[in-house]
Formats: sequence, structure tokens, C-alpha cells
Amino acid sequence: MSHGTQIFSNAWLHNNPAWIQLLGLCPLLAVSTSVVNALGLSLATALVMVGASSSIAMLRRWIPDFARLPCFVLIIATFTTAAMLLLQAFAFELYLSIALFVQIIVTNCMILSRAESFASRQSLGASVIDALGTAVGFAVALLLLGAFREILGGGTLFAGMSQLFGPTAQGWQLELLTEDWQIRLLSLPPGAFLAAGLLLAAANALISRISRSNDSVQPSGGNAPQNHGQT
Amino acid sequence: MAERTNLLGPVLVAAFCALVLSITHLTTAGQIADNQRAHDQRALRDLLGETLPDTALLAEAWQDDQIVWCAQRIVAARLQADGYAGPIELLLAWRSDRTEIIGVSVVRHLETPGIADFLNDHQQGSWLEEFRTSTATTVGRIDAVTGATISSNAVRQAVAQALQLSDPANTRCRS
Repeated sequence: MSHGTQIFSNAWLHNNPAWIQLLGLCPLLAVSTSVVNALGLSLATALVMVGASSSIAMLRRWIPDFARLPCFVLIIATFTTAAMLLLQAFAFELYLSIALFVQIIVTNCMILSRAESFASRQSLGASVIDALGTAVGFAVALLLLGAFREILGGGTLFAGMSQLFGPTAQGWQLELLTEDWQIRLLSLPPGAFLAAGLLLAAANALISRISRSNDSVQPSGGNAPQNHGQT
Repeated sequence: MAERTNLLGPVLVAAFCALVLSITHLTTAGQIADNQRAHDQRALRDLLGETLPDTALLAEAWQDDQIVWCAQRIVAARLQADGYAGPIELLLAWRSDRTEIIGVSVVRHLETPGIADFLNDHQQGSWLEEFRTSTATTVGRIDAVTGATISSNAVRQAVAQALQLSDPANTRCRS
């Protein structure tokens, strides 16, 4: 089982798609305007990620080398379409606001890179764990950015959550900042770049500090203690 | 060097994908159709605003495929404009006695995101808002949006055509 947890923490933390590999930045920048958008896209991406990775791991014996990429893209496109249909069925209003970015999950190199470098070489179980880890890593980055930009750019948190959770979520919205304290820039595209840069810098500073303190304690740099700082 | 390429694998992958898609489609199709209808009805309610028809009546009115609401000298119709990337589905409401437009609302479109974002904007001061209170003759004077001439002309043309076809003598509308 420690092998499984190692794959997971590698996928979500040490090889985080957003702040280590810098993959999938287009949806990361475009959809992180609010928590509900970020959560919707995270769920859609997670579904595609897990579905595609497990299918590729399952079918990898039958996928010939010469047609590898077309097969991967076909499988990823299938699960993207499935995610779109599910979003339309269960969160129609949310779908309308993030439809474009759900469609381009197909071209998200984060998913293709996991398919190529992991799922096509590993067992089904390991691939599912890796896909889950990658999806969680992407979701953490997206939600952090979404919350940051929603609070500072619009003064609210969890606005419009009823698009995803139905009428029960109507009262979840928090008003945190009055108009005087809001920075409108952050809800606009340039703000996405600024916020993503800050997130990147913070994550890297944190990781290097943790690994430095780990090195002084145990030179091999174990994986387990590193999980604490980030959650 | 074997020339023979094994196509069984790709065929299997394609069959698997077809299966996944069919199952998802079959399980979600009904719900999606319901959601879309609810969305369209909400658009119609937003469009008619004050003259709010009750939902039961609205659902009944929706059966007709073109005229969706017709009472109190107000007609609302579903139009299709021939846009740049595909059909643009519109809702148009007007006063049947004066052929004066109450409002235009875009329900669905496939136009280029970003460039055609003005089709989603129903706020005050938006391009779609310019249609409000214009008539069959003044619709032609609304300027097309720069960079999206085809999309905006398509909407304008569809609206102008609908107004011309539906003179006050429209027999389908008795109220």
C-alpha cells in the first residue's frame, strides 16, 4: 500500500501538474474566476483523467505502438464528451458558463502526458491512483486560484454554488470584502496571470523550504513528511 | 519487417469508446432535453419580463415549434439565424399591433467564443438591447458588431424577416 500512497503523493504534490509541470495552464488561468467554476472544471477534468487513464491501462495490450497517440486521443475525447453530457444533465447552468473549457480538456497535455508516460506502462490500479493524484493536484491549484481571485476580485466566496449543488447551496455565499477592498484586476485575465505567478512562487518556496529541512534531518529525503505543509 | 499492420487493436479501442459514449448518451439524453427546455423557458420569461405568463401556460405554448407565446397582443417566436459557425437560436418577442420589438434573446449559438460574446450579453447597454423598441423598419439601422459582421447581420436579418412575415393579421395569434 505504501507504493500506492507514494504514487499518489508523487502525482499530486511532487509532480503537481500545475506548479511543477506547468501543464494544463489554459483552463487553470481561464476558469479560476470563481470557486464554483474551478470546482466544476476540476470535477470534469478528474472524470476524464480517471476514465481515460484506467481505460488506457486496461486496453494497453491491444493498443499498437504505431497508433498509440490516435488511440489515446480518441479515448480522452470520448471521456470529455461523456463529461460534457453529464455536466449538461446535472449542472446545466454551470455547463453554460464553462462549456468551452470543458471541450478543450481533450487538448489538455496534462492528461495526454499521464496517458503516455504512466497509464500505458503501468497496471490498472497504479494508473487509477496516479490519475486520481494528478486530478487532485490540478483541483487543488485550480481551487486555490479560484478562491483567491473570487475573494479579492469580487469580494465573495462560494457564490453561485447552487449551480452545482442545487437549491441547498443557495445560502453558501460569503460576503468577505466590501467594494473598497476589492481588486477588480484579479477577476480579469491579467489577474489570472498574476495570481498564477504568485501561486507558483509560493508553492516553490514552500517545497524548497520543506525539502531543505528534510535534507538536514534525513539525507535521503523521505516522501511522507512532505505532505503536511501543504494541506 | 512484417508489412501486415494489426488493426484489431484500434478497432477494439474504437468499439470501447462507442460503447462508453452510447451508455452516457442514453442515460443523460432525457435529463439534458428537460434542462434545455427549462433554460429556454427561463429565457422567455426573462424576455417577457412584466407580462409574465404562468409556467403551465408556458409549457403548453412551447409545444408549437415556432410561435411560443401569444396573448395580450404579444407574440414570442423562436427563430433560427444562419450564423458564421452554425445556427443561432433566438427568441424574439414583439407587440403584434405595432410590430414593435419587446426584446431579443439568444438561446443557443456556436459562434466563435470571445468574438461573439456579445450574443450572450443581455445586460443593459448591450448590443442585443438595441433591438428593444425598434420596429421592422428601424431594425436595419442597428450597426453590426465589428469583427463579427456575419453573426450580427444574421441576427438582424432573422429578426427583420420574422417581423415582416408576421403582420398584425397573423391568424395564429388570437387573444
